[in-house]
Amino acid sequence: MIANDQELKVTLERIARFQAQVAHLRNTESNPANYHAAASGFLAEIDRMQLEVREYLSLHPQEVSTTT
Amino acid sequence: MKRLEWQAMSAEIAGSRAVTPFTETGDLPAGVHAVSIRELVAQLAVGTPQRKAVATRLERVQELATATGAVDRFFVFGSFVTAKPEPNDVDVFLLMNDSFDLGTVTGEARLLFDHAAAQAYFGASVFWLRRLSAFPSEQEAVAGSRAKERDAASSN
Repeated sequence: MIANDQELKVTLERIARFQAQVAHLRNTESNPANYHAAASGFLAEIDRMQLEVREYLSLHPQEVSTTT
Repeated sequence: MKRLEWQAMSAEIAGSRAVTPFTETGDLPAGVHAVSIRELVAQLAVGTPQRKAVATRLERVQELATATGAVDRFFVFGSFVTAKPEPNDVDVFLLMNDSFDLGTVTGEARLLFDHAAAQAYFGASVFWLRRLSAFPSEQEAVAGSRAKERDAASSN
């Protein structure tokens, strides 16, 4: 769970890195089966991190401090 | 980045290496630490039943991955390679050689290469790429994939 703005920043950077990796994979992996399987881990991790970001941003700072 | 690696296809070379001691925060020192699977299990599958269970999963994953004959580099990261007594699972990043074709992999080994299936079947979070697809470099691709835990340890 994201606890503060610094962790938010790190998570957003990591999402961007994963997205760039998948975009690169999509252009370099010529085998569709390889692509789908290799991308699955990165896409699952992107989904998980985006949910964390959404949960963090859905709370006001005063609420974050009381729930962590 | 802190991570741990052994070269699956050159276990003899790394065979005598021991796991680097943890820092006072319970992490590996920053950087990649080449070790053999034998040393890794001997030194980290200790203390709690959960650690032993996770080590058993890792050994199975390593065995199946190596059997494909296409693993160039095998990285372990996440809570198992920290001092955490109850790691949830084992995190692995595989760099496969550029001729690897998933279509040639059958049976249990095939499950390793499907992230959700590997999680459900092996209790392992597996990321993998052919080396040519690592972005922006192998080093950074592996580093970027490291653990959910922000204090995780992992590779080279």
